[in-house]
Amino acid sequence: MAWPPTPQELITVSAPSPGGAGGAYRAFGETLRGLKTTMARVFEGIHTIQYPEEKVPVYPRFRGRHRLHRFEDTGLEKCVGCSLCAAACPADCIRVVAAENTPEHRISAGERYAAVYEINLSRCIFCGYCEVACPFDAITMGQDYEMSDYSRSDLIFTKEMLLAEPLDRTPLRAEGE
Amino acid sequence: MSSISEYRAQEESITMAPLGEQIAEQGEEDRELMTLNIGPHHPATHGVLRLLVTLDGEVVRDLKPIIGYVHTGIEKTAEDKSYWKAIPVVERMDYLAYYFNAFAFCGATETLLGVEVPKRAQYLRVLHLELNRIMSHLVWLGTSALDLGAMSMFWYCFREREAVLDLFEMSSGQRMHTRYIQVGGVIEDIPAGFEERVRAFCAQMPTRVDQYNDLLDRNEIVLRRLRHVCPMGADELLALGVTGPLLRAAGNPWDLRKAMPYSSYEDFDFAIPVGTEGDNYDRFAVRLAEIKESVKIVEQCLDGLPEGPYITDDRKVALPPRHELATSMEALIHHFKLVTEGFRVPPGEVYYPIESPRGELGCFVRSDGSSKPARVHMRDPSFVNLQATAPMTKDAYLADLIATLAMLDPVLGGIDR
Amino acid sequence: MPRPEIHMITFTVDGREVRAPENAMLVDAAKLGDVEIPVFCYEPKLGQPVGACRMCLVEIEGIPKLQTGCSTPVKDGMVVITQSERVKEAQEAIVEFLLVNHPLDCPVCDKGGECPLQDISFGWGGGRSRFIEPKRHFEKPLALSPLIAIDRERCILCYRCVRFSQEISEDYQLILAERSADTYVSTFDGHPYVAPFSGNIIELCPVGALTSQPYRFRARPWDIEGAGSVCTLCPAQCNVELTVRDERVLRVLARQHPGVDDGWLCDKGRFAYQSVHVDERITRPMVREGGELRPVSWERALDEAAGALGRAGAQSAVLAGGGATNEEGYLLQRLAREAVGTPHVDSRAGGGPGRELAAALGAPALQATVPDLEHAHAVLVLETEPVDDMPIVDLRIRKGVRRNRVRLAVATPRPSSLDRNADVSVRYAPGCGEAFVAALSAMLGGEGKNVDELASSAGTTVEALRGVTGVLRGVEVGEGATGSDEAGPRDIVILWGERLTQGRRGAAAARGLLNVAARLRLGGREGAGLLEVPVAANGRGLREAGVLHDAGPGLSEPPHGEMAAIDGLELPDGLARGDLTTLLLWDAEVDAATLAAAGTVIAHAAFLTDALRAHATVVLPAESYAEKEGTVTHPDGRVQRLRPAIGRQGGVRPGWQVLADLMARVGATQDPADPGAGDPRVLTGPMASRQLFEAVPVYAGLTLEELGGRGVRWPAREQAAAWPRADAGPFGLEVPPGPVKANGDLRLGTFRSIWAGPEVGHSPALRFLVPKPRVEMAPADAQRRNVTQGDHVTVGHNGAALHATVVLRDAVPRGTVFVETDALRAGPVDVRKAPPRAGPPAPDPAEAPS
Repeated sequence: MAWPPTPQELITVSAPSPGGAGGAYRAFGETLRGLKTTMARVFEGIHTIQYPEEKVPVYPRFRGRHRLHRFEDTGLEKCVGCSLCAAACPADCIRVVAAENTPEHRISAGERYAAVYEINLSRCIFCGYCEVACPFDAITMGQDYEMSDYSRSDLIFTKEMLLAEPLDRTPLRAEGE
Repeated sequence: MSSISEYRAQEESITMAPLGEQIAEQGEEDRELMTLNIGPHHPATHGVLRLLVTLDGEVVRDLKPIIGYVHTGIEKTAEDKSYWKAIPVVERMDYLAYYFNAFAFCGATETLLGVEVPKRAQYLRVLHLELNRIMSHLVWLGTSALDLGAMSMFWYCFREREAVLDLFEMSSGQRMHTRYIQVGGVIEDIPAGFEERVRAFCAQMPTRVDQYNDLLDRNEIVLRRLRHVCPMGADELLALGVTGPLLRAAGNPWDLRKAMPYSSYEDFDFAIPVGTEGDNYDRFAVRLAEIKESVKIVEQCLDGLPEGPYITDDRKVALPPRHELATSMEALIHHFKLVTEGFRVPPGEVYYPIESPRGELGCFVRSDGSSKPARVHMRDPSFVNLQATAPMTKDAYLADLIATLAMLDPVLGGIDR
Repeated sequence: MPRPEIHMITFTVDGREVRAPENAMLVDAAKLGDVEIPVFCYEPKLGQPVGACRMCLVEIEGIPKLQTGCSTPVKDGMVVITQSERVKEAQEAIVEFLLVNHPLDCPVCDKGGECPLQDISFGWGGGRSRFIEPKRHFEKPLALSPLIAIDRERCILCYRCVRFSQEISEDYQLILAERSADTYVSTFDGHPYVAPFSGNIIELCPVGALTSQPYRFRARPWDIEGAGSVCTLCPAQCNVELTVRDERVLRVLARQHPGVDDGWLCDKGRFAYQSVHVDERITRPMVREGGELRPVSWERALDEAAGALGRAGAQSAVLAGGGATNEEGYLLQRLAREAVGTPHVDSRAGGGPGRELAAALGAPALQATVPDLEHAHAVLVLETEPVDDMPIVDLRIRKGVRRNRVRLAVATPRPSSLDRNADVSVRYAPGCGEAFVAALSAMLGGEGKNVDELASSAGTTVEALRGVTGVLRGVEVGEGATGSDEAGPRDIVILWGERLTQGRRGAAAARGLLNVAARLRLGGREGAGLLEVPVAANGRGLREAGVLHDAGPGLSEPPHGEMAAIDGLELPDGLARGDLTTLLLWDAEVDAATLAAAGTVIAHAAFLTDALRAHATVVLPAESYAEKEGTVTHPDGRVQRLRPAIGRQGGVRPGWQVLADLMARVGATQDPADPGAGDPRVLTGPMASRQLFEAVPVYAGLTLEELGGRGVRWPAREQAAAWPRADAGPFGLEVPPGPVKANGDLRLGTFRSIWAGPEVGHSPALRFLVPKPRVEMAPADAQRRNVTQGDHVTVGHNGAALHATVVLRDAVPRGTVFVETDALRAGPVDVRKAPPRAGPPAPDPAEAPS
């Protein structure tokens, strides 16, 4: 592509000066045309949503509040406490303290498990790098986007809270919706 | 403590004394200049911009923009993160052009690394960049029209903006700050059904632009507020470093997408809207026309979307495919190292400019050979363009200052960084 | 052998001309040109390279095949290429090969993130795997020892750990079992790998095969911060890096310093950090109330302590020990001398030679350095067991003997672990060190007629002495070494234990030692001299800071002049006589009887012993070395800096602050009219350091910045000239008293094992190593007394007795027994079978480390 661009590649915008006879016409004509435009929108229907009674459904890729997962068959936690999510987090909002599984006290499938797993959601930027970093699909970003709370300390989610099945508050978008 | 008080002192030292003396010399002692503070929390400043305006009656004699109220130290923060982790950080500078921020940074890093980006990734990037441009212009149009008193425009623009954000959510999982663009490509391929939705949006968007035009373009009030108001010539704009729609409105067709094509922009057929006078109307009309051109590019992206990988297959830069993590030791090690330490970038420095909705967005990155950038700097167009406010609005009415500021389209997140 | 000369040559690597020492290995030489060659098995600390991993293959012009960079010495004009396609291909192939059997453990592996295998795979590997077959499997995870976990699947067979065990610590426990793909690391007999230096293999392992049990899964490299400091658990003062997460020390790594530790750590230094965070630690001040120690506020405790000291005045005594810093020592003697007004200050509980002799022994010209041990012609180990007293020096001596053919003579009462490496090892009777050095001095001086008599009073033989002089003079053993030194002076290092000069005849022993040094002409000779092994970790520093009954800072004349001061040895008597009533113990330990004799005991300690629990009046919590700020002085004169790695636990306050507060309080009570009296003008740790540097002439001009992370050897500074001049002999020696006559009884020798000390006992991981009371005896003696291995016996004399288990050692000289105790003094003892006790059977004593 050559530079400078050819005149065919340019669109020149222009407009008349305001006032004068044209102005007088436009004060009526163009205003009526504008009113016609707005009036026509009435028939397009309603675009607003009555939140919170009605919730916006999210797409499958939506990154909401994190969830930790268990294996469905054994019930063991998928997380082995490897801390890769903490390493990947640009906001440093994940804290993992690992411990060792014992045969009597088995928490996860690997040698180690996360004894402490905390996400400070007030720091989280929902970039989803934790999900990308996790080699075991143990942490995923859920679809919940209603996370406001009355105190900051309540926004530090512990492992139990993240493992728990979330309240079905925010719907997933149905196929083709 | 001392630094704060120094800043305060500097702020308070801003006086218009010379102007007052001038007026006094002209024998008009009874006239008095008034200093009016606008912002930082004012709806017309489009963010936390503070303006110290010296008024002579209703006429703006001088103006001092004061910035820094949303300084977040993002450039410095990026120095402490590996390149991978810096992407979501730099994205948050100009919060209406997050794809552009991420792309400028990734482009700079890729240049340093010498990584080839697959064609499909380049197209996917352009697709999202142009959708982002439409989205950014819609926010600008909605808020600017609001400043001029056109309330319904705000709702219309945000309706279309929601449609774009829905598309972003569908492809990358987030409506803003998507971190979709990664070094070497994009993080995921577009999902099934995405193309139809984008096409539907593209089919509708030009009609919407026409409707906006019906409302505004020849409206006498709009013309009176914009036409011939606060014009500035291309030469003066260039001298101030102003780029983007503002420069094109003055007749200079400078557009980096055509002047220095990147990310396969040379493959697309689109026109550059230019103005003639460089007044507020041209600034307004150029942007509206750009939305239509962007829609064309998006459609061409979908038409010509090549098959192939969406991210480079260089294992030293891009994460290995997830399915390999369970079987391949090499993949697991590379995943682990890329996630924790990140790739190392050969020493060097690069400046990577792209055409953002507001002009030339350049990302400067210096690497010292480690896995964290030694320096990241963004040449944010809002910051440079803001310089033109004072000369543009000198001797204009206060109401025109508001209109001019709206047509400047500053985004304070980008200015303060 | 003396240090070799270094020739610089020029070679080319990747087109760059690089100057490097001739015969340096290519890997090291290339680094000088900023070229990195990846390695797994190569580790210069382990001695000769083995070229086991093949990771370091490079192309050398003129040699058709690729060569291993780790085992190819660089020569002048060599042209090396590390970036060619061939090299790249070889590197990728090696990485792929190593990863073939490597398990996919990174997420669970403790090494993840600081793993050379990861780094090299990422940096030099191909990035794609072709291997889809099942991997090799071993049982895992297993414990190689209670301290070390082994994962054999992860092992890449680099031999590092085995080489360490075979060639560095020479405990010969680790081997590679089986062959080819089935090869694995193991102890030769399948027993746990328990050795004083076993932890080093964790740091050596380039993969996650050997990991620390106490650190297991505690943190990831991105969770932690490293904090450099100095370990003060023994006089070796190794440089360490503490791994800190959430204000807790989680790990100790070596911080290589060739002048101090050579990059190794003993297991005590590596694992005893656990005692920092145990509940048993004292973290609040305590005062005795109603017969019991109760936690109180600092104000209350300091008031009580200051009140007691102020009231007692010259009747109070101060004893410092352990890892107290130089600053604490300096402030402590100021507190005693300036505020309390007592001359009874000491840091040597066992006593020692007076100021003059201490100055002569510590004279800068007579000091050897730690690296001298590996480059000397000969080393004499005298009255010390390095592995127990200063463990890291043991490795240094072994290194010198193995690599530089240093001649080694060992002269100790107790069989030494260095005997196998020694050219000559000599036993003498416990407590007869003075006679031994006198005999050695006579032998070296050619005073033939005295030698017989002295040798027999030392409980040794003339032959044995001749062997030692032969080694020192560089004559083959058995070639009839004479006293002459025709060959001229040689680089000889005498590593002597402070025990030699302890006790009432310590001065005589010190004179004997100085005579030996003079006869060997060690004074002023580079690479030769004396190297003391003090009893306390910072023994040297405390002495130089002025914590001596007869000397002020820098061994100056004490400020109280000729006023008779009671030293550490006389302390129990002084308390018993009533000359002393109040005792301030600063990190020092004394026995319960002594404490009982004191009216008031103020103890600054980290752990409550039974004795303190019973007798202490005020207990002030002490910092651990991870929390301390200040300086310590290595036995070879290196002033090193301690930096706080973590915040102080609980209510612990810095030592300098406690002393400054005490000084201000005591000063205020002494002179109520002047509230500022006694203010020591110390508000921060660095202020205390500055005061110390100003007060000690040989430290003059030092700054904390100058000390940095490596420390400064003051004997090598100009200011060393300020060291007090002292007569260094030769002295006329008196004939020492003869050895204790055994008379059917056994002679008792005592020792202190590396595993003694509260830090070991309070570290959960190390607790299994705490020695059980045991008596080492010769099999013949045991037979005569009708006891055998594992029997319970009482060892005692003069009414004092202790229970112990019998351990038979062939190397123990007949007529002598060794007991690890501080409770009994050397002398004749009797060993009797203890009456059988009811209850559970006795634990197996065989597992006690030798």
